[in-house]
Amino acid sequence: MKREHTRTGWPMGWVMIVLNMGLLIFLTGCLPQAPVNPSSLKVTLLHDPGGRGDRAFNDMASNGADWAKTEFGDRVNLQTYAVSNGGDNRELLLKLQGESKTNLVICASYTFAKPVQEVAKDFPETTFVVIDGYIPDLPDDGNILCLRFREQEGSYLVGAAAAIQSTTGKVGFIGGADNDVIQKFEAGFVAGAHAIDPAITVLIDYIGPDVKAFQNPNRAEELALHQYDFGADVIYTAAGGSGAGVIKAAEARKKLVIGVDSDQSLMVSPGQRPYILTSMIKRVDLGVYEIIKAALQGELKGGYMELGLTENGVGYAVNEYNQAMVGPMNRRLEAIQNDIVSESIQVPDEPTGLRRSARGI
Amino acid sequence: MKLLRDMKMAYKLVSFFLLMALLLGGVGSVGYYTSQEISGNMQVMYHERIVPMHLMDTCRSQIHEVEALSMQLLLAPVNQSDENNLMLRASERLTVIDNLLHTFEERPLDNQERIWLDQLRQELASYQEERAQALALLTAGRHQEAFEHYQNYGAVHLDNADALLRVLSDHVTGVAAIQSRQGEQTAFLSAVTIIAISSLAVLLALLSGMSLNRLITKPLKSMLTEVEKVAAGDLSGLESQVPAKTKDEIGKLAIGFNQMARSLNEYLKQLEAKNREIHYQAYHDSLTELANRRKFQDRLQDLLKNEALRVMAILFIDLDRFKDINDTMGHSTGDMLLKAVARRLIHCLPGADTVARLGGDEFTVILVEPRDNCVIEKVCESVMQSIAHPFVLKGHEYYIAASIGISLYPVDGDNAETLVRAADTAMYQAKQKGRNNYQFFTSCMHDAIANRLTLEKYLRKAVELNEMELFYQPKVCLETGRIMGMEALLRWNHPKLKLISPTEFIPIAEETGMILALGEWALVEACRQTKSWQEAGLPFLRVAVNLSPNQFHQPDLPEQIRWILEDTGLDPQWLELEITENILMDKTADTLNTLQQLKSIGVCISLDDFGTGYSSFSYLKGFPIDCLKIDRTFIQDIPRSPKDANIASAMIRLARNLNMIVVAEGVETKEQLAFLQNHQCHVAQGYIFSEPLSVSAFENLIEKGRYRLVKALKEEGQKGGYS
Repeated sequence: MKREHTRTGWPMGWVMIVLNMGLLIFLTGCLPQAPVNPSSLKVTLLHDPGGRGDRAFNDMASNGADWAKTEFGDRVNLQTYAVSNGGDNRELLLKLQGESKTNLVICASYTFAKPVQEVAKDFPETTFVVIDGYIPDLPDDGNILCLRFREQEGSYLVGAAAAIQSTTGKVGFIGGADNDVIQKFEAGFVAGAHAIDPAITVLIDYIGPDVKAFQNPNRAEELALHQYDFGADVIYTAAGGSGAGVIKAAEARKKLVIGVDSDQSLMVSPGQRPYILTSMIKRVDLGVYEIIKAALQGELKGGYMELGLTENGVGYAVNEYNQAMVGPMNRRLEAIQNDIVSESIQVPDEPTGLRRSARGI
Repeated sequence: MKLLRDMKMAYKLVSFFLLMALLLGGVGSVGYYTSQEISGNMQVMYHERIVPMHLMDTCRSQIHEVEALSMQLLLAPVNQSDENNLMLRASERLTVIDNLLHTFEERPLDNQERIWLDQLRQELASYQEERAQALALLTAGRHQEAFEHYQNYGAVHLDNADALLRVLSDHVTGVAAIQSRQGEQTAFLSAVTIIAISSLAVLLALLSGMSLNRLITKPLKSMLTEVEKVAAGDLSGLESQVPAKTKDEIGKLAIGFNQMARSLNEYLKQLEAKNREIHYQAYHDSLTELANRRKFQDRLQDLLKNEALRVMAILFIDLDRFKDINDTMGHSTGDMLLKAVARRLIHCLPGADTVARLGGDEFTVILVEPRDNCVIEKVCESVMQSIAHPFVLKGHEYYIAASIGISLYPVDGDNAETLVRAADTAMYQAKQKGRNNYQFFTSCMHDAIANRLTLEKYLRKAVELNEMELFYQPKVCLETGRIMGMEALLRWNHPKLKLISPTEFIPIAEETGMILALGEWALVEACRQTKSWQEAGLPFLRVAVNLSPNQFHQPDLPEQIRWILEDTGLDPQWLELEITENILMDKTADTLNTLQQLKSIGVCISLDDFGTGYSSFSYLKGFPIDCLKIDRTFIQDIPRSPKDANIASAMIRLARNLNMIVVAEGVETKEQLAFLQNHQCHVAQGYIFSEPLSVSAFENLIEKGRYRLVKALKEEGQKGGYS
């Protein structure tokens, strides 16, 4: 039979089909965007009291979380809590996180190690990360992860830098709380200084026995002034928020200071910048970022995670303000760095020998 | 689909619109339902989530204020009124918090919320307890202690409360987010559904529109095509059928259309058949189904136009004695006979180009390209043979014969008229020659025709010009030897053509109808002459006048006779009318009637030429006949032919037994006379006594020759041994 044709000569049926297709495509275009996957990753960052604004460790952790938030957007639902000033409510906070079905709880302090150990078992759906904390015998498939840094490696490098810079043959170390973590700084710093100048004297002082030592800049300043007055011309401070006191002291004595965790040159007031030799950078932000990323990808495991020079987890800061001082020693420092990465230098993570305090202990 | 096809058009449209309406309704109801759902969701969200979120936030700000106020109270106690004021404000805040929590509690709580709320209350209670202790220390003036107590034991509870409030708030927010997401989901689903239904509707609308369009327009289109075709004069469209698959109005229309086309087609076919029939009838003889005159003429014309034609023969066939049968047995028999003849002609003329019946008993045959005359002769013979076989109709056998005239193209003529006339002439000639014969046309026949035409021309004026004359042949009574009557015979004395035999002009007169005038004239003349002889004193003799069939069949014949007799004054007994057997064969009732009327006038009737036609004794019995005239053919061979003699004697006996006068015609020899005398024939007529004589010669004969006649009679009697 003869096909029906439109006036233009196209077969009627085809015209109809094309019209229909066009219409369907148009309508499909009208479809609203399907709502995004509502299961965003619920992340809570827990700080110690006074942690936020320390321009160091806690702010680095916070930066890492913000970095992830910036990068992954709505896929990350970030909350921040701080432990009460008035008492230890870590367990309560951890529990509340578990109860509100938070996916990932990142605790920015080794002080959370114990309460995490207590609480984590009740909330298997929640992964608890303790930065700098150490809990023994964690299984890979558990819900606790300890994120640790080989601070001794970075400390070794700044120790070397301090030794190179020192003219007095005396350098100082001011730690926050006297515990395993801060002692790693001490051990690395001492080893690094001695690697340059075996005869160098390292003055070592700790602010206090517990976490409050990290928010005691007055004490830190006091100790620093003491060490400077005792002859140290470079002090390495591994004391979190208390570091500000050391910097203040350096400014007062017009001596050098080595910051910790974040690049302190960028944090301090312009007047203080000249006295900051460098900073031992501890990439807490990288750690936090990597953990959130892994959690988003479903690859986060329990157990331990260690970041050192090899992983760019630690290092020393070079910036426009300290370029003049660090530049000349950069080659030596890089050589040492390579040796550490290639493991030809073994950096100790525990102090050896006696501490010499500026107070003469 | 079938159902859809069979639906009425109106139902189709209605169901189409219903479907559209249903789809629209679907879209509308989905939209309405989802909008209801979403607004419901929003309301729930507002009451159950936003309000409590607001409560929690207010709570938190109150807690922060309480903390600030407490710190202010503990750190900077200025004077008693300030202290009281601060304390009052703090406890106000705490009451507000309590109220807010109550409000929060009034809404449905899930398990987790309840646990957290209990914890919150606990923390707040602990805080208030510790705060109270701190304040107690404060009022006791132990400022430092109070502050430290607050810091070390109270603040943490407030922080915990704050954390709990945050968690609660987040929880509510999370649920709200989930609900909002559910709302979004619903909205999305509804949008998808609406779009799906809309696309479906559009698709269905287009498809059903298309199919509806096809259902309606397609059959209409094909019908239109057919109608246009028919309108354009292409009647072949009527043969085809428009598809009528559906049972709706269109289908019915299509069926009606098809029916119309069918009947129209049938009608056309009938018309064509009728046309063919009419054409056939126009060109064929309805009786025999042979070609008719027109067809024959057309065919002949066509053939003559054909230059390739070299030779052609026209056969003109006339049936002998058919007229007799037709007259005697009626037309129906005649028609049957004609049909039978036609069948035989067709059968024995397979090679003929055309066999036609021109009318009556005349048939024509066209033979195209006959090899020679022998072929034509053979054809003629086979025709004659086949016609000569007896025809059996209604149980009777009929014998007829065919006379055939043949003309040849181009020898005898080069146009149809000439050829047919030539064949006709030849046929006529054949008939003249003796029936059951065939004759080729010759040029002398043409002369004969011319002659005949001349005769006809002259004959018309013969009576007027007084060229006609009656001769009288005496009839002699064999007993007495006296002349007892005479037969009046016509003579035509034409100044140029001299004497013309009656055998020549009588048939012409018969054919042309002039016989009526001629016959009347003869009757009047014979009566007048006889009367004048009677008045002149001559012996009273009876005059016999021949009546031709045409004359006899005039309805006013008796009247005419009566009138003539009255006019001439002749006594009817002296007039004798001679009729032939043929007259008696037809119209028996009328014939009898006429004869009886004639008889009642008083004239005498004799049967002429008895024995030559279809002699039937029933005539003799049924009709009032006075006299029987034995035909000359039975007399002329007497006495050589014993058969004829026997027939003659039998006829004489028959007539005598029926009390009829018997007259022998054509007596020429003494032997014949003697035989007749011996067998007691009443009267004889013939050359032995006298040839037909003119009036004066007849008068002489009667005056003077009476004796000679008687003498001759006596001599004969003596010779024959009669006394």
